[in-house]
Amino acid sequence: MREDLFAPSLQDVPRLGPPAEGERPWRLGSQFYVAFFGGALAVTAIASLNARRLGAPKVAQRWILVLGAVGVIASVIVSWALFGRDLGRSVRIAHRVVAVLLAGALYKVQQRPDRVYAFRAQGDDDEQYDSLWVPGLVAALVGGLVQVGILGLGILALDAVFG
Amino acid sequence: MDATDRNLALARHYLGIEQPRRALEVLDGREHDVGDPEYWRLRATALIAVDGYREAIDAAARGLDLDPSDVGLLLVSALAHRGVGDLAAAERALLAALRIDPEEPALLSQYALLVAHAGQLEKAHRLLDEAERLDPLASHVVHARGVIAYLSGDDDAAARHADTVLVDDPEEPGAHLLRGSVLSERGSARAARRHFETAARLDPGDAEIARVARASRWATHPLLWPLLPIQRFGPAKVWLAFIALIGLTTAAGIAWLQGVVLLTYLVFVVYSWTVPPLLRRWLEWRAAR
Repeated sequence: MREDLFAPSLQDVPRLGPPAEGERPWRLGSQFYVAFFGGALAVTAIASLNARRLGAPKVAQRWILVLGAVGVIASVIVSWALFGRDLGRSVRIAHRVVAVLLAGALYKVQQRPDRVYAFRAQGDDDEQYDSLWVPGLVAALVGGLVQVGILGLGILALDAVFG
Repeated sequence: MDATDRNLALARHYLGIEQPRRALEVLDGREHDVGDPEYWRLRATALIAVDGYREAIDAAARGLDLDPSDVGLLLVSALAHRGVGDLAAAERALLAALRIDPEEPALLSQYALLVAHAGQLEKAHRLLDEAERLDPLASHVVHARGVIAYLSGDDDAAARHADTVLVDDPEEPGAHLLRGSVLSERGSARAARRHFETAARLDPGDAEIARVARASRWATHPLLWPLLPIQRFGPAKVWLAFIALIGLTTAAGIAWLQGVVLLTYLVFVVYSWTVPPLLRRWLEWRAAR
Protein backbone atom coordinates (compact mmCIF):
# COMPACT_ATOMS: atom_id res chain seq x y z
CA MET A 1 0.00 0.00 0.00
CA ARG A 2 2.81 2.40 0.89
CA GLU A 3 4.58 1.64 -2.40
CA ASP A 4 1.38 2.58 -4.17
CA LEU A 5 1.19 5.84 -2.19
CA PHE A 6 4.77 6.74 -3.04
CA ALA A 7 4.42 5.94 -6.74
CA PRO A 8 4.76 9.19 -8.72
CA SER A 9 1.43 10.40 -10.05
CA LEU A 10 2.21 13.96 -11.17
CA GLN A 11 4.95 13.37 -13.71
CA ASP A 12 2.58 13.76 -16.67
CA VAL A 13 0.82 16.82 -15.25
CA PRO A 14 1.62 19.80 -17.50
CA ARG A 15 3.14 22.83 -15.87
CA LEU A 16 0.35 24.87 -14.31
CA GLY A 17 0.28 28.55 -15.04
CA PRO A 18 -2.31 31.29 -14.91
CA PRO A 19 -4.69 30.65 -17.84
CA ALA A 20 -5.04 33.44 -20.38
CA GLU A 21 -8.21 35.50 -20.58
CA GLY A 22 -10.72 33.51 -22.58
CA GLU A 23 -9.39 30.21 -21.22
CA ARG A 24 -10.27 30.78 -17.58
CA PRO A 25 -13.31 29.11 -16.04
CA TRP A 26 -16.50 30.91 -15.07
CA ARG A 27 -17.91 31.33 -11.57
CA LEU A 28 -20.24 28.47 -10.76
CA GLY A 29 -22.89 30.74 -9.22
CA SER A 30 -23.30 32.66 -12.49
CA GLN A 31 -24.45 29.51 -14.28
CA PHE A 32 -27.82 29.75 -12.51
CA TYR A 33 -28.61 32.86 -14.53
CA VAL A 34 -27.91 30.95 -17.74
CA ALA A 35 -30.16 28.14 -16.51
CA PHE A 36 -32.96 30.55 -15.66
CA PHE A 37 -32.88 32.47 -18.91
CA GLY A 38 -31.63 29.80 -21.31
CA GLY A 39 -32.87 26.50 -19.94
CA ALA A 40 -31.32 23.08 -19.59
CA LEU A 41 -29.48 22.99 -22.89
CA ALA A 42 -27.78 26.34 -22.39
CA VAL A 43 -26.60 25.63 -18.85
CA THR A 44 -25.34 22.18 -19.89
CA ALA A 45 -23.29 23.71 -22.70
CA ILE A 46 -21.77 26.28 -20.34
CA ALA A 47 -21.13 23.70 -17.59
CA SER A 48 -19.50 21.33 -20.07
CA LEU A 49 -17.16 24.02 -21.39
CA ASN A 50 -16.44 25.16 -17.84
CA ALA A 51 -15.55 21.64 -16.70
CA ARG A 52 -12.96 21.47 -19.47
CA ARG A 53 -11.54 24.82 -18.46
CA LEU A 54 -11.35 23.65 -14.85
CA GLY A 55 -9.49 20.51 -15.94
CA ALA A 56 -12.22 18.37 -14.37
CA PRO A 57 -11.82 14.58 -14.63
CA LYS A 58 -13.34 12.94 -17.72
CA VAL A 59 -15.90 11.16 -15.57
CA ALA A 60 -17.19 14.51 -14.25
CA GLN A 61 -17.38 15.85 -17.81
CA ARG A 62 -19.41 12.81 -18.86
CA TRP A 63 -21.75 13.26 -15.88
CA ILE A 64 -22.45 16.81 -17.02
CA LEU A 65 -23.54 15.58 -20.45
CA VAL A 66 -25.65 12.79 -18.95
CA LEU A 67 -27.32 15.18 -16.50
CA GLY A 68 -27.86 17.69 -19.31
CA ALA A 69 -29.58 15.08 -21.49
CA VAL A 70 -31.75 14.01 -18.54
CA GLY A 71 -32.55 17.68 -17.87
CA VAL A 72 -33.67 18.35 -21.46
CA ILE A 73 -35.87 15.23 -21.48
CA ALA A 74 -37.23 16.04 -18.01
CA SER A 75 -38.12 19.59 -19.04
CA VAL A 76 -40.24 18.21 -21.93
CA ILE A 77 -41.97 15.61 -19.73
CA VAL A 78 -42.56 18.00 -16.80
CA SER A 79 -43.86 20.72 -19.13
CA TRP A 80 -46.30 18.34 -20.83
CA ALA A 81 -47.39 16.78 -17.52
CA LEU A 82 -48.07 20.18 -15.91
CA PHE A 83 -49.34 22.31 -18.78
CA GLY A 84 -50.20 19.95 -21.63
CA ARG A 85 -49.94 21.74 -24.99
CA ASP A 86 -49.60 25.21 -23.41
CA LEU A 87 -46.09 25.99 -24.68
CA GLY A 88 -46.16 29.54 -23.26
CA ARG A 89 -46.56 28.44 -19.63
CA SER A 90 -44.13 25.58 -20.17
CA VAL A 91 -41.44 28.00 -21.35
CA ARG A 92 -42.20 30.54 -18.61
CA ILE A 93 -42.31 28.14 -15.69
CA ALA A 94 -41.80 24.38 -16.12
CA HIS A 95 -38.63 24.28 -18.17
CA ARG A 96 -37.10 27.01 -15.96
CA VAL A 97 -37.72 25.05 -12.77
CA VAL A 98 -36.13 21.97 -14.31
CA ALA A 99 -33.20 24.01 -15.63
CA VAL A 100 -32.48 25.62 -12.25
CA LEU A 101 -32.67 22.23 -10.53
CA LEU A 102 -30.33 20.88 -13.19
CA ALA A 103 -27.98 23.83 -12.58
CA GLY A 104 -27.87 22.77 -8.91
CA ALA A 105 -26.80 19.26 -9.90
CA LEU A 106 -24.23 20.61 -12.37
CA TYR A 107 -22.94 22.93 -9.64
CA LYS A 108 -22.29 19.91 -7.42
CA VAL A 109 -20.44 18.07 -10.21
CA GLN A 110 -18.20 21.09 -10.84
CA GLN A 111 -17.71 22.03 -7.19
CA ARG A 112 -14.66 19.83 -6.51
CA PRO A 113 -12.68 20.81 -9.62
CA ASP A 114 -13.68 24.44 -9.06
CA ARG A 115 -12.34 24.44 -5.51
CA VAL A 116 -9.14 22.70 -6.62
CA TYR A 117 -8.75 25.32 -9.35
CA ALA A 118 -9.30 28.20 -6.90
CA PHE A 119 -6.88 26.54 -4.46
CA ARG A 120 -4.03 26.55 -6.94
CA ALA A 121 -4.89 29.68 -8.94
CA GLN A 122 -3.36 32.93 -7.83
CA GLY A 123 -4.70 36.45 -7.96
CA ASP A 124 -8.08 37.85 -7.10
CA ASP A 125 -11.48 36.65 -8.27
CA ASP A 126 -11.35 38.73 -11.45
CA GLU A 127 -7.94 37.32 -12.33
CA GLN A 128 -9.00 33.71 -11.69
CA TYR A 129 -12.32 33.73 -13.55
CA ASP A 130 -13.63 34.97 -16.87
CA SER A 131 -16.84 36.95 -17.17
CA LEU A 132 -19.87 34.89 -18.20
CA TRP A 133 -21.71 37.91 -19.62
CA VAL A 134 -21.15 37.32 -23.35
CA PRO A 135 -20.89 33.50 -23.44
CA GLY A 136 -23.81 33.25 -21.02
CA LEU A 137 -25.93 35.55 -23.15
CA VAL A 138 -25.06 33.64 -26.35
CA ALA A 139 -25.76 30.29 -24.65
CA ALA A 140 -29.04 31.58 -23.22
CA LEU A 141 -30.20 32.91 -26.62
CA VAL A 142 -29.07 30.03 -28.84
CA GLY A 143 -29.62 27.27 -26.28
CA GLY A 144 -32.92 28.84 -25.27
CA LEU A 145 -34.21 28.90 -28.86
CA VAL A 146 -33.17 25.31 -29.52
CA GLN A 147 -34.65 24.29 -26.17
CA VAL A 148 -38.00 25.91 -27.02
CA GLY A 149 -37.96 23.99 -30.33
CA ILE A 150 -37.25 20.71 -28.54
CA LEU A 151 -39.91 21.56 -25.98
CA GLY A 152 -42.52 22.25 -28.67
CA LEU A 153 -41.76 19.12 -30.67
CA GLY A 154 -41.51 16.99 -27.54
CA ILE A 155 -44.82 18.23 -26.18
CA LEU A 156 -46.50 17.58 -29.54
CA ALA A 157 -45.01 14.08 -29.66
CA LEU A 158 -46.06 13.25 -26.08
CA ASP A 159 -49.52 14.66 -26.74
CA ALA A 160 -49.86 12.56 -29.88
CA VAL A 161 -48.82 9.37 -28.07
CA PHE A 162 -50.43 9.81 -24.64
CA GLY A 163 -52.89 12.66 -25.15
CA MET B 1 27.67 30.88 19.24
CA ASP B 2 29.69 32.27 16.30
CA ALA B 3 28.57 34.98 13.87
CA THR B 4 27.17 32.48 11.36
CA ASP B 5 25.10 30.73 14.00
CA ARG B 6 23.81 34.10 15.25
CA ASN B 7 22.78 35.16 11.73
CA LEU B 8 21.00 31.93 11.08
CA ALA B 9 19.30 31.95 14.48
CA LEU B 10 18.10 35.50 13.86
CA ALA B 11 16.80 34.60 10.38
CA ARG B 12 15.07 31.55 11.85
CA HIS B 13 13.49 33.79 14.49
CA TYR B 14 12.16 36.21 11.87
CA LEU B 15 10.71 33.33 9.88
CA GLY B 16 9.09 32.02 13.06
CA ILE B 17 7.30 35.33 13.59
CA GLU B 18 6.19 35.58 9.94
CA GLN B 19 8.70 38.29 9.02
CA PRO B 20 10.35 36.78 5.92
CA ARG B 21 11.59 40.12 4.59
CA ARG B 22 13.50 40.76 7.80
CA ALA B 23 14.93 37.24 7.54
CA LEU B 24 16.09 37.98 4.00
CA GLU B 25 17.70 41.23 5.17
CA VAL B 26 19.66 39.26 7.77
CA LEU B 27 20.70 36.66 5.19
CA ASP B 28 21.57 39.15 2.44
CA GLY B 29 25.25 39.87 2.13
CA ARG B 30 26.34 37.04 4.44
CA GLU B 31 28.60 35.44 1.82
CA HIS B 32 30.62 33.60 4.44
CA ASP B 33 27.50 31.59 5.39
CA VAL B 34 26.89 30.18 1.90
CA GLY B 35 28.74 26.95 2.68
CA ASP B 36 26.05 26.02 5.18
CA PRO B 37 22.96 24.19 3.80
CA GLU B 38 20.91 25.74 6.63
CA TYR B 39 21.60 29.19 5.16
CA TRP B 40 20.09 28.11 1.84
CA ARG B 41 17.14 26.39 3.52
CA LEU B 42 16.28 29.55 5.45
CA ARG B 43 16.82 31.72 2.40
CA ALA B 44 14.60 29.54 0.22
CA THR B 45 11.91 29.45 2.94
CA ALA B 46 11.93 33.25 3.24
CA LEU B 47 11.79 33.66 -0.55
CA ILE B 48 8.78 31.34 -0.78
CA ALA B 49 7.03 33.41 1.89
CA VAL B 50 7.42 36.54 -0.26
CA ASP B 51 6.37 34.69 -3.45
CA GLY B 52 9.93 34.68 -4.84
CA TYR B 53 9.53 31.11 -6.06
CA ARG B 54 12.11 31.13 -8.85
CA GLU B 55 14.82 32.53 -6.59
CA ALA B 56 13.76 30.01 -3.94
CA ILE B 57 14.25 27.16 -6.44
CA ASP B 58 17.80 28.42 -7.08
CA ALA B 59 18.51 28.83 -3.36
CA ALA B 60 17.25 25.32 -2.57
CA ALA B 61 19.33 23.91 -5.44
CA ARG B 62 22.45 25.63 -4.04
CA GLY B 63 21.78 24.05 -0.67
CA LEU B 64 21.10 20.63 -2.17
CA ASP B 65 24.45 20.85 -4.00
CA LEU B 66 26.01 20.95 -0.52
CA ASP B 67 23.80 18.26 1.00
CA PRO B 68 21.57 16.31 -1.43
CA SER B 69 19.95 14.37 1.43
CA ASP B 70 18.79 17.40 3.44
CA VAL B 71 15.08 16.67 3.96
CA GLY B 72 14.28 20.30 4.86
CA LEU B 73 15.89 21.55 1.65
CA LEU B 74 14.04 18.96 -0.42
CA LEU B 75 10.79 20.11 1.18
CA VAL B 76 11.38 23.81 0.44
CA SER B 77 12.49 22.88 -3.06
CA ALA B 78 9.15 21.08 -3.52
CA LEU B 79 7.22 24.09 -2.20
CA ALA B 80 9.11 26.44 -4.50
CA HIS B 81 8.47 24.25 -7.56
CA ARG B 82 4.80 24.04 -6.59
CA GLY B 83 4.74 27.83 -6.42
CA VAL B 84 5.72 28.10 -10.10
CA GLY B 85 3.22 25.40 -11.06
CA ASP B 86 5.81 22.69 -11.76
CA LEU B 87 4.06 19.88 -9.91
CA ALA B 88 6.23 17.17 -11.50
CA ALA B 89 9.46 18.69 -10.14
CA ALA B 90 7.80 19.31 -6.77
CA GLU B 91 6.76 15.67 -6.60
CA ARG B 92 10.28 14.48 -7.45
CA ALA B 93 11.67 16.58 -4.58
CA LEU B 94 9.05 15.38 -2.11
CA LEU B 95 9.44 11.74 -3.06
CA ALA B 96 13.20 12.09 -2.64
CA ALA B 97 12.55 13.44 0.87
CA LEU B 98 10.09 10.63 1.60
CA ARG B 99 12.64 8.02 0.49
CA ILE B 100 14.94 9.39 3.20
CA ASP B 101 12.25 9.80 5.85
CA PRO B 102 9.12 7.84 4.87
CA GLU B 103 7.52 8.16 8.30
CA GLU B 104 7.55 11.96 8.58
CA PRO B 105 3.92 13.17 8.83
CA ALA B 106 4.85 16.69 7.68
CA LEU B 107 6.22 15.32 4.40
CA LEU B 108 3.17 13.12 3.91
CA SER B 109 0.89 16.12 4.57
CA GLN B 110 2.77 18.23 2.05
CA TYR B 111 2.60 15.44 -0.52
CA ALA B 112 -1.16 15.21 0.10
CA LEU B 113 -1.54 18.96 -0.50
CA LEU B 114 0.62 18.69 -3.62
CA VAL B 115 -1.44 15.93 -5.25
CA ALA B 116 -4.56 17.92 -4.29
CA HIS B 117 -3.26 20.71 -6.56
CA ALA B 118 -3.69 18.27 -9.45
CA GLY B 119 -7.15 17.23 -8.22
CA GLN B 120 -5.99 13.82 -6.96
CA LEU B 121 -8.10 14.04 -3.83
CA GLU B 122 -8.45 10.29 -3.26
CA LYS B 123 -4.69 9.88 -3.10
CA ALA B 124 -4.49 12.93 -0.84
CA HIS B 125 -6.95 11.30 1.57
CA ARG B 126 -4.92 8.08 1.62
CA LEU B 127 -1.67 9.96 2.26
CA LEU B 128 -3.30 11.74 5.17
CA ASP B 129 -4.61 8.43 6.54
CA GLU B 130 -0.99 7.27 6.59
CA ALA B 131 0.21 10.53 8.20
CA GLU B 132 -2.55 10.29 10.79
CA ARG B 133 -1.56 6.73 11.60
CA LEU B 134 1.96 7.97 12.35
CA ASP B 135 0.92 11.03 14.35
CA PRO B 136 -2.82 11.58 14.78
CA LEU B 137 -2.37 14.82 16.73
CA ALA B 138 0.11 16.62 14.47
CA SER B 139 -1.45 20.00 13.68
CA HIS B 140 -0.15 20.13 10.10
CA VAL B 141 -1.84 16.78 9.44
CA VAL B 142 -5.13 18.04 10.88
CA HIS B 143 -4.80 21.26 8.86
CA ALA B 144 -4.06 19.37 5.63
CA ARG B 145 -7.04 17.12 6.42
CA GLY B 146 -9.20 20.27 6.66
CA VAL B 147 -7.93 21.65 3.36
CA ILE B 148 -8.54 18.37 1.53
CA ALA B 149 -12.02 18.11 3.10
CA TYR B 150 -12.77 21.64 1.86
CA LEU B 151 -11.55 20.82 -1.65
CA SER B 152 -13.69 17.68 -1.59
CA GLY B 153 -16.76 19.81 -0.81
CA ASP B 154 -17.08 18.49 2.77
CA ASP B 155 -17.44 21.84 4.52
CA ASP B 156 -18.50 20.34 7.87
CA ALA B 157 -15.31 18.28 8.12
CA ALA B 158 -13.20 21.23 6.95
CA ALA B 159 -14.69 23.46 9.69
CA ARG B 160 -14.17 20.74 12.30
CA HIS B 161 -10.50 20.27 11.39
CA ALA B 162 -9.88 24.04 11.32
CA ASP B 163 -11.48 24.37 14.76
CA THR B 164 -9.29 21.54 16.09
CA VAL B 165 -6.16 23.34 14.91
CA LEU B 166 -7.38 26.65 16.36
CA VAL B 167 -8.02 25.08 19.77
CA ASP B 168 -4.34 24.06 19.89
CA ASP B 169 -3.02 27.19 18.24
CA PRO B 170 -5.45 30.14 18.01
CA GLU B 171 -2.83 32.06 16.02
CA GLU B 172 -2.49 29.65 13.10
CA PRO B 173 -3.17 31.77 9.97
CA GLY B 174 -3.85 28.78 7.71
CA ALA B 175 -6.61 27.50 10.01
CA HIS B 176 -8.22 30.97 10.11
CA LEU B 177 -8.06 31.08 6.33
CA LEU B 178 -9.72 27.68 6.06
CA ARG B 179 -12.41 28.56 8.62
CA GLY B 180 -13.08 31.81 6.76
CA SER B 181 -13.34 29.98 3.45
CA VAL B 182 -15.92 27.57 4.85
CA LEU B 183 -17.94 30.43 6.38
CA SER B 184 -17.74 32.35 3.13
CA GLU B 185 -19.09 29.35 1.19
CA ARG B 186 -21.96 29.20 3.67
CA GLY B 187 -22.76 32.85 3.12
CA SER B 188 -21.62 34.08 6.54
CA ALA B 189 -19.65 36.97 5.08
CA ARG B 190 -19.14 38.85 8.37
CA ALA B 191 -17.85 35.85 10.30
CA ALA B 192 -15.64 34.92 7.34
CA ARG B 193 -14.24 38.44 7.29
CA ARG B 194 -13.22 38.17 10.96
CA HIS B 195 -11.22 35.01 10.23
CA PHE B 196 -9.62 36.41 7.07
CA GLU B 197 -8.62 39.61 8.85
CA THR B 198 -7.17 37.62 11.75
CA ALA B 199 -5.16 35.52 9.28
CA ALA B 200 -3.87 38.69 7.59
CA ARG B 201 -2.90 40.18 10.95
CA LEU B 202 -1.07 37.00 11.98
CA ASP B 203 0.76 36.68 8.65
CA PRO B 204 1.27 40.25 7.42
CA GLY B 205 3.87 39.23 4.82
CA ASP B 206 1.51 37.02 2.81
CA ALA B 207 0.13 39.02 -0.10
CA GLU B 208 -2.45 36.33 -0.95
CA ILE B 209 -3.95 36.40 2.56
CA ALA B 210 -3.99 40.21 2.47
CA ARG B 211 -5.88 40.07 -0.83
CA VAL B 212 -8.45 37.62 0.58
CA ALA B 213 -8.92 39.81 3.67
CA ARG B 214 -9.42 42.88 1.48
CA ALA B 215 -11.96 41.06 -0.69
CA SER B 216 -13.84 39.91 2.43
CA ARG B 217 -14.12 43.54 3.58
CA TRP B 218 -15.69 44.43 0.23
CA ALA B 219 -18.12 41.52 0.55
CA THR B 220 -19.62 43.12 3.66
CA HIS B 221 -20.07 46.57 2.08
CA PRO B 222 -23.56 48.05 2.72
CA LEU B 223 -24.25 48.24 -1.03
CA LEU B 224 -24.10 44.45 -1.10
CA TRP B 225 -26.61 44.01 1.72
CA PRO B 226 -29.50 43.50 -0.75
CA LEU B 227 -27.59 40.44 -1.98
CA LEU B 228 -27.45 38.87 1.48
CA PRO B 229 -30.04 36.21 0.53
CA ILE B 230 -27.76 35.03 -2.30
CA GLN B 231 -24.71 35.08 0.02
CA ARG B 232 -26.60 33.25 2.74
CA PHE B 233 -28.57 30.65 0.79
CA GLY B 234 -26.82 30.52 -2.57
CA PRO B 235 -28.21 31.59 -5.95
CA ALA B 236 -30.11 28.35 -6.64
CA LYS B 237 -32.29 28.53 -3.53
CA VAL B 238 -33.00 32.22 -4.07
CA TRP B 239 -34.03 31.69 -7.69
CA LEU B 240 -36.15 28.71 -6.72
CA ALA B 241 -37.84 30.85 -4.06
CA PHE B 242 -38.67 33.46 -6.71
CA ILE B 243 -39.96 30.76 -9.04
CA ALA B 244 -42.09 29.33 -6.24
CA LEU B 245 -43.50 32.81 -5.57
CA ILE B 246 -44.25 33.32 -9.25
CA GLY B 247 -45.87 29.88 -9.35
CA LEU B 248 -47.99 30.64 -6.28
CA THR B 249 -49.19 33.98 -7.61
CA THR B 250 -49.97 32.33 -10.95
CA ALA B 251 -51.90 29.54 -9.27
CA ALA B 252 -53.78 32.07 -7.12
CA GLY B 253 -54.53 34.16 -10.21
CA ILE B 254 -53.23 37.41 -8.64
CA ALA B 255 -51.85 39.01 -11.77
CA TRP B 256 -50.69 42.28 -10.17
CA LEU B 257 -48.71 40.42 -7.46
CA GLN B 258 -47.16 38.21 -10.09
CA GLY B 259 -46.04 41.37 -11.89
CA VAL B 260 -44.52 42.78 -8.69
CA VAL B 261 -42.63 39.54 -7.97
CA LEU B 262 -41.38 39.35 -11.54
CA LEU B 263 -40.25 42.98 -11.52
CA THR B 264 -38.53 42.55 -8.13
CA TYR B 265 -36.80 39.48 -9.47
CA LEU B 266 -35.55 41.26 -12.58
CA VAL B 267 -34.28 44.24 -10.55
CA PHE B 268 -32.59 41.81 -8.18
CA VAL B 269 -30.90 39.98 -11.07
CA VAL B 270 -29.65 43.18 -12.70
CA TYR B 271 -28.44 44.47 -9.30
CA SER B 272 -26.54 41.22 -8.58
CA TRP B 273 -24.91 41.37 -12.00
CA THR B 274 -23.89 44.99 -12.05
CA VAL B 275 -23.32 46.32 -8.54
CA PRO B 276 -20.69 43.83 -7.18
CA PRO B 277 -18.18 44.26 -10.04
CA LEU B 278 -18.72 48.04 -10.17
CA LEU B 279 -18.33 48.31 -6.40
CA ARG B 280 -15.17 46.20 -6.46
CA ARG B 281 -13.64 48.37 -9.17
CA TRP B 282 -14.58 51.54 -7.32
CA LEU B 283 -13.11 50.26 -4.02
CA GLU B 284 -9.95 49.08 -5.79
CA TRP B 285 -9.61 52.49 -7.42
CA ARG B 286 -10.15 54.20 -4.04
CA ALA B 287 -7.64 51.88 -2.31
CA ALA B 288 -5.07 52.56 -5.03
CA ARG B 289 -5.41 56.30 -4.40
